[in-house]
Amino acid sequence: MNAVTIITLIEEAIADEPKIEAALRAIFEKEEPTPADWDAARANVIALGSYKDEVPNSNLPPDELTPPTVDTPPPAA
Amino acid sequence: MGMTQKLFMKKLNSTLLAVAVVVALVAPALTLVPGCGTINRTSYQAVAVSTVSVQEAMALWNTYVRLNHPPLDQERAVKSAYEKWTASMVIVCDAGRVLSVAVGTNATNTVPVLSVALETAVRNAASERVDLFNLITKVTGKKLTQ
Repeated sequence: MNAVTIITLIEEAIADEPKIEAALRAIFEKEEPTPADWDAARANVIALGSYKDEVPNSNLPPDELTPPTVDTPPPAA
Repeated sequence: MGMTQKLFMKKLNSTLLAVAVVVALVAPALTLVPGCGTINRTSYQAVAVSTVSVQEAMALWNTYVRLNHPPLDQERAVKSAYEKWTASMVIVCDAGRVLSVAVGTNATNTVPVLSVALETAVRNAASERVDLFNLITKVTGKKLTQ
């Protein structure tokens, strides 16, 4: 696979996934992260949701889809 | 192969490619290569990349579940792996926050220890992500780039 082919594939993948393009830009433009940045990253992880949220087509029984408790407050320091 | 399955395969290939591109472009962040920035920054990048790639993998898994109705044991295994990854990422973010506070307040005596703690948390989270991807790969038969 030559460089032109790889670049074309990357362009196609990014064109298909705008949110990935946005994420990549944010990653590379970010300077030294602050505590607020880490709080935002943490909120982003939790916002992904439970398994039930990510897999709404799940065939698991409802009582197994209760999300675990991971959303404890971030450390103060 | 029906139209629905063809659409799934097209989406699957697109997703796999997108995940591969993301991981390949930011491989230094994922492996915490010294000299490519501080541990704080590279860990932050790793969190962002891992979040995107897992989100894509779970979207793929959701489509697979809808079309193929895998055994419940397989679903339980993926669910467990996903929850372990989520919990490990929260630990990474907490460790990163603590390190950022220490750096911001010039608490230089604690920075080395906190850096090691953050690096360890990132490695654990990366391990959980690999486990999740391996499970999805095993069930769907499609390799997700690690």
